[in-house]
Amino acid sequence: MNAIRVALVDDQALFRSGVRMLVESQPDLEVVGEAGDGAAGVALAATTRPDVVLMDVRMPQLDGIQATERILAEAERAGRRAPRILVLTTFDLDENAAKAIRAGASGFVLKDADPEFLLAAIRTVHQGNQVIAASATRELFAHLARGSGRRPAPTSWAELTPREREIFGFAARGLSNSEIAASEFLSEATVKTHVSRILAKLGLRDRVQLVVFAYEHDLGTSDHPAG
Amino acid sequence: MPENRISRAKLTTDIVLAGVFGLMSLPFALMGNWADLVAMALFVSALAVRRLAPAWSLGIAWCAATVQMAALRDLQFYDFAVLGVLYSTAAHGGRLVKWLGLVSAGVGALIATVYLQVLMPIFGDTSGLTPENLIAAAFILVASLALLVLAWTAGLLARSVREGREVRRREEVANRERALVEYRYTVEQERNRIARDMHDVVAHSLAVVIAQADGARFAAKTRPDAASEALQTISGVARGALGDVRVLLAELRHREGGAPQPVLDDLGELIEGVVAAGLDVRRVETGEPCELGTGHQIAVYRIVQEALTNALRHGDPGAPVEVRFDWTPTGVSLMIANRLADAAGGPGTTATGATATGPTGARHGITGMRERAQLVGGTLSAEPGGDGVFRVVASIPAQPRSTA
Repeated sequence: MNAIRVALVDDQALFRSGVRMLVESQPDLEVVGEAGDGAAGVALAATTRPDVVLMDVRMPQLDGIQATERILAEAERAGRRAPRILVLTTFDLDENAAKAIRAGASGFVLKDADPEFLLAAIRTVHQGNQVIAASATRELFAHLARGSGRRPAPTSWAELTPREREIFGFAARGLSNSEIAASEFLSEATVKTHVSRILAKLGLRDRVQLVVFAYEHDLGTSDHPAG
Repeated sequence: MPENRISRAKLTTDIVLAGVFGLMSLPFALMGNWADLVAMALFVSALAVRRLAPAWSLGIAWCAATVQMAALRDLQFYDFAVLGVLYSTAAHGGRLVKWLGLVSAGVGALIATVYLQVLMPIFGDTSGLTPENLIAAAFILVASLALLVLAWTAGLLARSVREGREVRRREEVANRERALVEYRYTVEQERNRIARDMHDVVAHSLAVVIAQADGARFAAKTRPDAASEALQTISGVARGALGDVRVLLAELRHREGGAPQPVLDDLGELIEGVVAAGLDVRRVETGEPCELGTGHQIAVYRIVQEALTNALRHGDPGAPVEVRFDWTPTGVSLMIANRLADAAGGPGTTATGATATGPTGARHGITGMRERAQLVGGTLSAEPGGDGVFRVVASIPAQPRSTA
């Protein structure tokens, strides 16, 4: 298997060099470039085509949210596979992290997370078969949604089959494909198919957006999905 | 209906005054007959309630006059109560009562004249109606009209004075509330600024420390030399952060004791603090200082503070920092100049450390400084010159504190 190509976008050179040492110590990971601000990050993503971008949210020039948006939009326009974007944030309840996820980032990692967690997160978002820190993501959105109330499920929700809703519930709680497969006596490939069909039906880019969708519409996260 | 919510003290005053008026008119009434006593009692009660219920007061006064005229009684001292009643209709009555008061003044004057000069001569005396009576009647009409309308007008005047005072009082309350809101807003801004500074200083530095330590640990297997480099970076970053935290804490502690917002007078203390932190700050002032509004003073203070903090963080600690105030009648020009650390040519690692954190931190601070200057109608530029000196130049217009 080829090494996962990682790009680092953060305005602190010393932070980048630390993360670079960490990432490069892993045989299956490779740093393909660094950028010091959002605009440079967009350019870096276009030239080096990384698999995963580690993106700081707060940056001069172009922040992580806008950079995320642009990288994904440019990849879509060029018709290439968009990189997974992992947002790095200082606070666990950072509004900007939530905005970045809305903009299409695959998840967020605290800058003080254990290095093992960061490495695992890079691998997980690259595989795309599990969402990282599902409960932290829910908490983040719950914190930001204070008082705004949850919205009713959109019509697209009705298009999901009972089976898909069940799997939606598992995925929304952060279970991986293999975990869902094991508990539902399905093959992992079947689960994967279900999940991608769910994402397509709901018009979601990523599993983390599924978590956010579930939270915002109060669907299938609290208990066993009602079906 | 009329405003009848008056204080107990006012009601008591009215009753006492009415009582005094009653005692004064009693001897005259006693010289008359029972009708005078009844009319007098009614007038006294009309006076007693003139502010409590101006409408009732007016009604009672009319009853009293009716009793007096029905009994064909002559003009008496107690009739002066009418003036007080009319005054109150204008001063304290509602819209309707106020105008009824004016109508009463006109109609009352007419009735009084007709009564005194036409009816009394016909029914009372035996002399009957004479031409002299008519001339006197015209005179009495004008005089009583003037007197009654005057009383009413005086009430109206008192009312407008009172209402003007009320408006001013409300304005004052509103002003005070607005000042409070503004104060809270600035406090909130300050809190946000401190939070931002804390984040910039502490969170950024700690993130670097963590990333370097983790990276070095993981890289140690393949690149043992990476560890010593990382340790050097870590100690450098941590040292810098500690210095920044000291500045922040000094700022916070300074704020606790004194005024909530720093003004120009606080600049001395600020500069002393920076000098204590090891910088050679030289303050130069030219021109005659003009009066600056509080917001402008805060802006000046904050710009100087931010520039000095930057000098402390990124400047050459050995070189003096110049803080210059050039006062003109239209405002003040500020200039804070410090030599950059890079220009001094320090040891390799610290120099790269400074350049790595320098641009961002400075950029953040400069945005804040420029905002502050623009908020008060001024301008600000901050950039390094070719000579390795970083200059913050701001111009703050004079705008004395306005009361509006």
